[in-house]
Amino acid sequence: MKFLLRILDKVRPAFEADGRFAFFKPLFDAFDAFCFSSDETTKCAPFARDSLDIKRYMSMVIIGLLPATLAGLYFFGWRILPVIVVSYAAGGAVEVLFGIIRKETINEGFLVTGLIFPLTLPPGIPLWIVAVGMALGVLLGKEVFGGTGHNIFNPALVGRAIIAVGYAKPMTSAWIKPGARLWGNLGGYLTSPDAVTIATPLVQAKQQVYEPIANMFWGNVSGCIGETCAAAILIGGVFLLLMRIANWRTVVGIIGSFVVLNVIMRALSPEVFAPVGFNVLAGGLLFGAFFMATDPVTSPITNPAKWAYGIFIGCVTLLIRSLTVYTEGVMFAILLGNIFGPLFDEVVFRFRFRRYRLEI
Amino acid sequence: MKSNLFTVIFAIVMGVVCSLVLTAVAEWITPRREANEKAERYRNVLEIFNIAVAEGAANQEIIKTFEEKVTIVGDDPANPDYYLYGRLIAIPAQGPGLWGPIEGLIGLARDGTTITAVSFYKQEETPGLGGEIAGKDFTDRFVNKKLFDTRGQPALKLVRPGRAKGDYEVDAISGATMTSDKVQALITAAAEKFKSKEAE
Amino acid sequence: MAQAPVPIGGPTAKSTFLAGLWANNPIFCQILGICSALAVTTRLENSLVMGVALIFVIAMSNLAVSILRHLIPRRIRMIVEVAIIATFVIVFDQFLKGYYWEMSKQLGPYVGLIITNCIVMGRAEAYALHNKASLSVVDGIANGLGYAVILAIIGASRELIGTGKLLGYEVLSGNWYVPNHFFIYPPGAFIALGLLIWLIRAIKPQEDDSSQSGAGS
Repeated sequence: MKFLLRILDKVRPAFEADGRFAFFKPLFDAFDAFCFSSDETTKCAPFARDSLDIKRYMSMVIIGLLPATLAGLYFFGWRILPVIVVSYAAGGAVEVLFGIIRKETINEGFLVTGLIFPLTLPPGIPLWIVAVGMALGVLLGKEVFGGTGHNIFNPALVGRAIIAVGYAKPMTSAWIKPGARLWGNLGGYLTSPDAVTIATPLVQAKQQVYEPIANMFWGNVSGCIGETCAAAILIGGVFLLLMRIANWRTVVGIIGSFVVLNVIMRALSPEVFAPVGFNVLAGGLLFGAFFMATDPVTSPITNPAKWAYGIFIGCVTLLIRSLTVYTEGVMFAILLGNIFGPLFDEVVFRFRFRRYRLEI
Repeated sequence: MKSNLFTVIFAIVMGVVCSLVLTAVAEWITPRREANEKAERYRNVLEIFNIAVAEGAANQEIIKTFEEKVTIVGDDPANPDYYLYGRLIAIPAQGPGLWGPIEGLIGLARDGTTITAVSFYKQEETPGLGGEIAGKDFTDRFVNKKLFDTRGQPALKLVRPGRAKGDYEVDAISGATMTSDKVQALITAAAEKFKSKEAE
Repeated sequence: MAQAPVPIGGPTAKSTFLAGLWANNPIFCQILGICSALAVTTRLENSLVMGVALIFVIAMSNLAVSILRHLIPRRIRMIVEVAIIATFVIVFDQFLKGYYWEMSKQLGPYVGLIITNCIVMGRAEAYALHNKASLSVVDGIANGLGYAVILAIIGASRELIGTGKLLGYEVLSGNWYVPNHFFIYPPGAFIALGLLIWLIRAIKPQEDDSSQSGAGS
């Protein structure tokens, strides 16, 4: 590491304002900051919302995502590694491009986006779709709003929504049968995507065929890369809750409202709504609740608003999942929640400050 | 400020001029518009019977060919029970789709049950999934299947892709379960309606 | 209503034309006529026909309003303008129904909805009521053209990305290009239009932001 530090310090002048490679300064800074602690402080949000700085924050989330990533690797094989690499490459390219155009430093935020995004995709997804989705997600979900901290929507979900609608076929059929042996699919990168495909539990649930709960919990089912293993998601998610990275109000709001509404609705029409235990573990509900809805930039700031936001997402997820053509509703529910988040905050502000206004 | 009288007169004159223009236009266009609507309906029927019509054929030509060869069965010529070409039959099939109405035609051979062709000429299903029902890949799957079983009951079923066997099963479109259900429903409805009308 | 800087001595044909086409373009400067720009741009052909329809309607209604501008009583001028516009819109709609049946089916209600397009009414109010007939026609054509060009760009990009075709001909081969259906859905229209306006505003020097008028239908 010392050796690398010496090299970086040696070439640094070339990247300063009047150096030969001044154009690539953002790229240099990003590499520098990734390897070593930066000597600068964060200049933009979300610094005000947590006592952590953005870099520590992002590395915690990545640690929290590791169990789910490893579970995906175990069940679906080496193929998910190139998926992640392509995601980082495409997102990074857009990020660097805008860093150069805007002459701003590149933010670590995309390290999280670049890992979350592939975990929400079917394991057999063609790599070029990964690249298109990630690039459009960063461009339309983040850069058009002015970069990290200014975005309304979760960039990973924007990218996923665009490819889910745009390439509906691969996004609803590129499933891989999870490995059932001790070593899972680890040995089998070369399982070609269309070799063994299998419907996800939520697709089967539309025909009222429900996967056993144990399989759902351990993740030995078909589904998106990071969403199948509930156990791994819970480990990472509880870690984030304990580190106070993810806000427990959002998570409890989502899962709690989902369970309550599901119990009521299933009592009313059991042929449309799946059993509660199955529904909570199926699809991306847990993954979305712990890792995506809790994104500090796109979720509300005040605590009552976080509750409202969580309850909104939980209810909308269940309704989309059970009553529409879509088998999964977490993605759209969180995007809708992102839209309403500021509104919930606004209502809370109005109530809190009404007293002061009356005095004026 | 102009006088009230002038304002009223101006408004009346404007109204009269505009309505005259619109009446003239309607007089000029209406026959053409009706011919267009008719020719479009006829063209779909001719295509089901596999009667060749040139790509850019004029309306009169289509209507003439149609009237020479095809008989409309039913009380309302705009919404007939079925069409006959010799002893070939074409049954209109319509019903709700997933996003909007679906309209189509089912062509039957002389025996009144073997399917010769199917078309869905109006649909607004999901592009890339349900929208594929309009494509030749899907409509060709119906050819030589049978609409009715030996007792004359509607028997054609859309089954999960890759599972179709025998004369009464057709592969549905993968990933488009909802649209396939709607198509199934409108085919069965059309078949039932045809049976009841044929019995009269 | 935002107005482009008017040269001393009143507008000329050239300044009027350039204002409508670029400096004061109805779509990306005034953000008018967005509904139809979003709705009909799934294919390039539809966008072109819609553009032609709007050029025809604005030019003709501007002409009529401008000729009658000293006669129209102020109190009922809006109603008179709407009547004139509606007449021309219906004429065009009927013409499509008679002679371009397929196109008329594709555009559905959107030709009729030109009546409510703010651009047409806006030009009648802001320009034709105060300027002579010949200039008003130029203004109508320029604004219609400004609208048509934007529609054509959006229509072309949506059709190309969403289906791999242009005007119905395959441009990007199906052998290697997988169309992204997202862009023929309504949200694709919002994104295509938003990106285009973003791009143009990045190129075009911003004079005065306060002159931007609000959104309209």
